[in-house]
Amino acid sequence: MTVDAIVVSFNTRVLLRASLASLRASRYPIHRVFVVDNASVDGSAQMVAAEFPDVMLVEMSENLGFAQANNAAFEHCEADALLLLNSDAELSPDTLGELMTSLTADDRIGVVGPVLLGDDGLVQYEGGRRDPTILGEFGNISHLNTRLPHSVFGRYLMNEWDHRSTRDVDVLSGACMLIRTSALRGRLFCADFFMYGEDIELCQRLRADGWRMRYVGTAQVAHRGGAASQKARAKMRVAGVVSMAQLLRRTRGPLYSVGYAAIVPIAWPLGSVIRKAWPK
Amino acid sequence: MSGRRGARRPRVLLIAAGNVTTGGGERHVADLMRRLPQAGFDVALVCPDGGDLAGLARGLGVAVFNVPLDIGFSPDTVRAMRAAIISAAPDVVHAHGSRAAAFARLGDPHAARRVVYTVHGIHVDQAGSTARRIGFTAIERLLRPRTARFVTVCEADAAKGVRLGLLTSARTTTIHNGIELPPPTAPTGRFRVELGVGAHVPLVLSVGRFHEQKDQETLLHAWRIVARSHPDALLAIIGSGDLASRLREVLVADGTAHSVRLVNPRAALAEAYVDANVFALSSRWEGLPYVLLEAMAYGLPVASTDVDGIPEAVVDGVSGLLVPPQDPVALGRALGQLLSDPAWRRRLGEAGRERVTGEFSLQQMVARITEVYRELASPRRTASATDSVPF
Repeated sequence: MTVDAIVVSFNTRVLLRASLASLRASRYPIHRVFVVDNASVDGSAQMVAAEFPDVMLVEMSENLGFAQANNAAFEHCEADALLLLNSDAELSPDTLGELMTSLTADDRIGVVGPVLLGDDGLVQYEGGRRDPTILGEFGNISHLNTRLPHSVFGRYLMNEWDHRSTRDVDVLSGACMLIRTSALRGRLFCADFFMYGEDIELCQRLRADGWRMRYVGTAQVAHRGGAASQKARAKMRVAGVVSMAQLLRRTRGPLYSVGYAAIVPIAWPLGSVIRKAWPK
Repeated sequence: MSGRRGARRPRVLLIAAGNVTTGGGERHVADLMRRLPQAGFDVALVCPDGGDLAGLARGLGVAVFNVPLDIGFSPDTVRAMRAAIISAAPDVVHAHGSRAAAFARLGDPHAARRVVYTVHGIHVDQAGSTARRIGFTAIERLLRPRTARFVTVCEADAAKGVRLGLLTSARTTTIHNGIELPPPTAPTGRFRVELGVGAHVPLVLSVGRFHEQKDQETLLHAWRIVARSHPDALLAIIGSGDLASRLREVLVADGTAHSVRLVNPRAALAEAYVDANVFALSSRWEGLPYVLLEAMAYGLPVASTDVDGIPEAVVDGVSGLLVPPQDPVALGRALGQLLSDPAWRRRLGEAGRERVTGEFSLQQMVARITEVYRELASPRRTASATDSVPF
């Protein structure tokens, strides 16, 4: 199977360089690498042009979000499989090979995702999770999921399961996923999402077509995260809530979405309190 | 592209309370993990984090649920077990050993119809204080109704378990442990080099952790008798444990330190088996010990105590010699007889190998266990993707 890779970049020049270098070092060959620059102002595009001349650079005139950026590059993709990688994530040389072995092991598997390792060396449980629910989101935002990991609040991130092992999951993370191109039927992300939620929508759509989402415990990706400023982080959390409300409206109906919107103002301040008063 | 979902394979969730594969129960779990996928089952594993068992599972692409079953009882552990079982949505929950089985039956909302409990030896009548014995028996009896099937590794355990009220005879099946049969192998001499002895030295091997159960003290006392008639013979005991220093004291007191070696445990025992001439086991109680089956599979004549499941594997005078437990004189005499007669040794060894090949193969064991699974598994409809194809 041939692979094209897409990396979306927005003002993450230094991380992007490491990310592209990791793609270059992959033992499994990559057909073409696309970088979509969402109108960065830190010289990301210039860095790519100068240091990675073999990369296909797609420059957006404005930041239309993560989903639209990926879609823009997807139009040019021809390979049998598509690797999506965040600009703050790095593959190890064997990651893509491991993912590809799993993807081709069963022709019902549509998407595979790796173990995401944070800067602290810990596994990020977001890598493989269940479909979002109001209770799960409440646990997530209020931090009850980490304080009561085996309660209903911990179900969303599948706290009960060792995320270094392999199994099917509901949702894989868009931070790094390898997708069977034929499963997409010409459509990558839903353009309604600015950032967050688009990976959930993709997984749910493909699952409805009968495809399996496989989390591969033997493939690893370093996922830095935490690169954004404090102000940007607050913005990202708002974007996350908006996306989730959108997603739940589509999949569970408007009433459910309103229910979700109603718990956020409770869960958010509760989370601040819990984080301070109830150390992990 | 729709309608791709094929027929679902039955799912088995294996539960082990230990995490290193040197233990018999955990080794059994490791064998099942390797073999069940070929037999048409999807497998997932619950075990404590840290040892090589979880690592093996991850390497095999098996979903792992880390539950700290190796530390004391806590409601949180039961909750974690419950979460793991619900998440894995198995058709069969197969718990190995009393600790794993207790948590499985407390945590599984459908325990009565799908928990299989393999008893790897019943030692409650042998070890521990009276209070512990009463407590253990009470727990087992309380949880007995929440068990779909009991499996014992030997007939002796089934009888003992029913007698003590731990098992229900109607729901109990005996499935002997089975091992992968090694191809006939010539001695490599590597183990002898490690011990610093040549090919002509008669070598007696024993394997087991240094624990009152394995009773190596009796073996060492027996060796004092053997050493008188066979001063050139060497006894190598592979193992480790709390009693190591005690055993060294016995060696010094018995004056046999020069003809006995205590050797550190290793993953590959094959080299030791092929270089040895006789296998000795001095256990006071057992299930059906893997090391005994392995020694027989390598064509070694065995001298063993006549306890629990051992006589089901070793036919006295045909595939080995059986002696009463804690009887150094009898064990010493048996070892001496075996060392004196190489031709007889070979005959016993060949008979032992044949017996293991015929009745204690891994293939047979897996076939019989999957029979139990198939009786319990029935197709069910499930909704979400995590529930429909979990592993």
